[in-house]
Amino acid sequence: MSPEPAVFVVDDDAAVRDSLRWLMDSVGLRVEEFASGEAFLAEITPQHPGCVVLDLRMPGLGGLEVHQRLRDRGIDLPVIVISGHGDVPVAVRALKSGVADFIEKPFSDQELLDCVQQALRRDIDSRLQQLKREELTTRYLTLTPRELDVLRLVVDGLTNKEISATLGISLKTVETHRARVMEKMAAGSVSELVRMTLIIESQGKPLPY
Amino acid sequence: MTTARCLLLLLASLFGALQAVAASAPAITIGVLSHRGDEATLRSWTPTADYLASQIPGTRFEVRPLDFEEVEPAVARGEIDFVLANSGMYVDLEVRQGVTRIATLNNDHDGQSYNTFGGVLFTRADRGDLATLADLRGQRLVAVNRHSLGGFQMQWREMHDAGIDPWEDLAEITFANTHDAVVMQVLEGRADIGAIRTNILERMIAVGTIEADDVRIVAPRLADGFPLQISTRLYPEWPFAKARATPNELAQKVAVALLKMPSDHPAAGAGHHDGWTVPLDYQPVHDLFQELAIGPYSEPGPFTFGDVLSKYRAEFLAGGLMLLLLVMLMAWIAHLNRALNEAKHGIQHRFDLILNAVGDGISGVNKSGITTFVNPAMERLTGWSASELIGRFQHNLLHHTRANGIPYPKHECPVRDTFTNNEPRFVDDEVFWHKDGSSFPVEYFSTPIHGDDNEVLGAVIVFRDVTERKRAEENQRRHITEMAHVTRLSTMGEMASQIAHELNQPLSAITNYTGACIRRLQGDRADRASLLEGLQLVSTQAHRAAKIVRQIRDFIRKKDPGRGPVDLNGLVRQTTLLVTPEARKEQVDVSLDLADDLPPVSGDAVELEQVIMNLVRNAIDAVSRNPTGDRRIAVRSGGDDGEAVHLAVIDNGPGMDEATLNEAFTPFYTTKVSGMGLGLAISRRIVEAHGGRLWAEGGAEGGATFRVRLPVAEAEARDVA
Repeated sequence: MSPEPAVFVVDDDAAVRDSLRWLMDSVGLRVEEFASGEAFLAEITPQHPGCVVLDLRMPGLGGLEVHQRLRDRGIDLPVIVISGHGDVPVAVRALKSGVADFIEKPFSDQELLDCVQQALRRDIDSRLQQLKREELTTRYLTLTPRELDVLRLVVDGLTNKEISATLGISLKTVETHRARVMEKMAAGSVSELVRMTLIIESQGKPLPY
Repeated sequence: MTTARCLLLLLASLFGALQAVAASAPAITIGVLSHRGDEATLRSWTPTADYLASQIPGTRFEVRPLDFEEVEPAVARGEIDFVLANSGMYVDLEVRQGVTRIATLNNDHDGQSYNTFGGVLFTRADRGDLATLADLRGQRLVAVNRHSLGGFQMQWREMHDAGIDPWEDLAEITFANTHDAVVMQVLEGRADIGAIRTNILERMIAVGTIEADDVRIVAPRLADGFPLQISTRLYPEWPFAKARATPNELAQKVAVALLKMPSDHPAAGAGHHDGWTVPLDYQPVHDLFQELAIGPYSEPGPFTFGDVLSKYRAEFLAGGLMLLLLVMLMAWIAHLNRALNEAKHGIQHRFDLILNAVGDGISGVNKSGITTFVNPAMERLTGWSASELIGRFQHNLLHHTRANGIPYPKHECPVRDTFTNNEPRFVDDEVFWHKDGSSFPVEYFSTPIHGDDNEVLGAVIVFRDVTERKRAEENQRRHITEMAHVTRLSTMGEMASQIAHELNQPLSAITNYTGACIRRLQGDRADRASLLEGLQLVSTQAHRAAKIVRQIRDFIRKKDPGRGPVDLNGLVRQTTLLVTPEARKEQVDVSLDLADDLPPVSGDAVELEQVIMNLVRNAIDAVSRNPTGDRRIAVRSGGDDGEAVHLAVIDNGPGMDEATLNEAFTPFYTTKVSGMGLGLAISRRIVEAHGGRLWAEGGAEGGATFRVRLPVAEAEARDVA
């Protein structure tokens, strides 16, 4: 599969798949078709950018199961689930489980395209954010333990004096560490440093100390 | 002298010759009342017989003694030519048997002759208490015979005149049959009074059998110039009479001979009489009989019957037994006859009842198709009376046109086939025509009638108006149709979201294709070829949607029950298309295993589709209890000897326990949360209405298998297909 961003269409109905390809093609989007959830899961990797258009009802794995398995494998592709009429409880469940969008048939082509565009953007954003997070984390990991202590207290909003008192080190030493942190993290201001910290923490992984 | 001797010799030889002739001639019989015993009779009267033979050349006479009871029968049977009996019997015979007196006896007493005689009542000399007739009451009387004139009837007349009924007023009356016996019984004291004719006692005294003072006359009377002791009036003596059949010529000769008999002739002496005189008037005897109402003047009474009974006891017994037997026989015969009559009547009655009471029309036709008999039901059903039907060609009256209005040629008539092929026929899809011009559906048997030689004589047609039954069938059919329709709607309701989904597929595709084309046009990136391709794809999807809509419409449409050849495989494919969304939703794998060259069945495609739909949907419901990935349904079809088609819907669900298997076809029984529970019930009714069967089995893999067996369509129906 191409590493280019694509719309992954997973539907057992060939006509629906084909028509979706046509529709995406008309707005210049690349489509990858899959006849079943199993076939899609066999090929998809976290490195594939794009979004997924999943049919809710399919023989074998249904749309929500495919979504769940993607999440289990750490693949954060935005998922748009298409369902038939009258599946409100399923829609609620789907949205709670993190599905990006839930579209009921019959839908207008524009509605679907809007959803797909949004999803693709979201994927790009999330991928950019991911890249940034990875870079910040790399920077973060270069900090010494004393610098990390100073960082945490700075982010918590303490003054140098207070940090000096808390850590039991001289004011001068605090100022030196603080300058090192700002330099290593390439942060222009304290507020930027705070945002960076949030991005790093949003990974959900415990930061090393 | 010589001349005289020669004459004598000649006479002697002549006499011998005559005797020889006489011996060879048939004897002339003289029946003689044997009132003193047969021996005495023969002794007394054989000389007279010989005398008569001697007087009448070429004849031979013999005496036949007869007792009182034998005389009349002998005369009646013509066994005797002449009869010599007492005057009473004579009068009786004169009236009853037509005998005619030809001479009257001259009796003899002490050289005097008397042609009259009377009766005597006597007792023993020591019975001085018995003097008059009045003294007889309470006494025991012994008489000769009830038919004896001098030995009973004369005395009876005197008692009667004296106001004594001997049968009532005497202690006892016995009959000793001979005068001598009467005398002896009185003397021996076995009876008080004796009744005998005159001249008996005198003769017995004369020969010394009794003494004159042994006896005494009771109620003696005197008669002028009559010398003997009497107790009664006098009556003419015994007559010599001829039987009716005896030739008068012979009778005259006998009469002449008797009258010519000298009083001193040895024959007269032997008979204790003085020869014969011209026949007397027997009116006094008639008077006696009339007075006593006996003899020819007898009236039926206890006396007569009792007497006859005692005399003819054996005969009576035999006769009675015979009569009894006869009566019993007659009763038996009557009983048999009655039983037979009843049986015959019963059979006739039953036959009539059957013919009259059966609702079925019954008629017979001969080999020419002419009606020979009809029953009342036939008249009622067809409107034609028996007289209108009988003798006419039945096919033209009742059977001239088929149900569809096309003329029914007589050579195609199944009744005709019956006697041409000699095979019974059953027809259930034709109509008969009423006299009023209407037709009615019938079913009928036509059975050949065979004669004694087993040749076909014609046919019996037993038919039934099946209008009501057809209507009932139609109603039943309509009911099933209604039910089927309702359950189809219900099924559609249950399937609505799945069907909506199914429709949404092509609609979504169409939306996508058209959206794509529009965008290309707007973006000026549209080339002719891709637009054309897009429109073709849209068209395909529109057709797909239309097909689904059509299937739904067909499925729920309330059709007139129409039957035709149905390809079951086609129905299975069509049905599985409709249930595909549901199967997909439940992630059920539906596989088809359909036999090639499956013969068509006859039926209603919509209803049969409904059956398959029900079975497949039930199977989906059953397997949806399995974990996903293990939900399988197989639909198989196959032929069965070219007679039936089999369809099996096999699932690998949890299967059914026995109770569920039993209840599965009950209406409103359901294990589902939704649904009416009518599916299997209506399915079974539909299949049965198609002449087939629907049943459930435990599947080999533990699931359930529902099987349908439907008869293959008739060959003609298939040709139409």
